Amino acid sequence: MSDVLATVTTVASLLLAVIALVASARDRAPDRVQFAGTVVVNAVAVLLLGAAVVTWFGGTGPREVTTFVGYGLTLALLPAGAWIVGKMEPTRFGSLIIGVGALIMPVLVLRMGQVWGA
Amino acid sequence: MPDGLNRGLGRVLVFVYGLFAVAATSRASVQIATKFTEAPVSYLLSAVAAVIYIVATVGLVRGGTHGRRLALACCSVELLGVLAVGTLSVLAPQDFPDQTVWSGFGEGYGYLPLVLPVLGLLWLRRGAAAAPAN
Repeated sequence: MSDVLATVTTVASLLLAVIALVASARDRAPDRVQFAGTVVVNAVAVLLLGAAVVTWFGGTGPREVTTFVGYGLTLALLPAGAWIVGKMEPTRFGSLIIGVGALIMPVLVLRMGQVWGA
Repeated sequence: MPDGLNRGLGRVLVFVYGLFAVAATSRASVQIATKFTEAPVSYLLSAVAAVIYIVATVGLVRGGTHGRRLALACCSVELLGVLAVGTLSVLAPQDFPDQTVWSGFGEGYGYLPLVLPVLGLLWLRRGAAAAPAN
C-alpha cells in the first residue's frame, strides 16, 4: 500500500475533521469548504485504493483479504455518506457529522495498513 | 419525522449508529465465517451487538412512538451489554480470547460503544420531554 497516498489521505481527513469540528463548535452549518473537503478526501481515498489494487495485481496484496476489502469499501463510501447526511442537516450537527466521518478515515487507513502485506 | 427524533443531534446518532451497524455486522460475519471455533462466545456477542446496532439505527431513523421505544430498548440493552462485557473482559480475560466490540468498554473503538448508548438515552429522554405524550 502506498505510504505517500496513505499519509495524504490521513492528513487531508484530519484537516477536514478540524475544519468541520471547529465549525460545529462555532454553531456553523457545513459550508462549501467542508463539502469540497469531503470530495477531496474521497478522491484521495479512491486513489489510495486504486494504487493498492494495482500493487495487488502486481503480486503483493493484503494479508487478510476480506477485512481489507471491507475497510476499503468503507473508506470509499464514508466521505460520500458524510456528504449526503451532512446535506440533510444544515445545522451545526451537519458539521459534526462531517467531522466525525473525517475522524474515522485515518483509523480505516491505519487498519488497512495493518492487514496489508505478506 | 414529526417528532424530530432523527433531526439535529439525532441525525449524528443515526450516522454513527449506521456506521457501527455496518462495522459490527461485517466484523461478526468475517469472524463467524472464518474462525468461529476459536472464540465462539466472543463472535456470537459481536453478532448480537451488530443486530442491536442495526435495530437501534432503524428505531432512530423511524422515530414516532414505535421507533422511540425500539431505540430506547436497544440503547438500554447496549449500555448494559457494554458495561457487563467490559467488566467481564477486564476481570476474566480468559473467557474472551478474542476482542468483541464491547471488550474493555469498547476501547478498540475509541470507547464510542460506551458513549453512544448514553448519548442515545439522553437524546431519547430530551426528545420524549419535547414530544407530545403519545
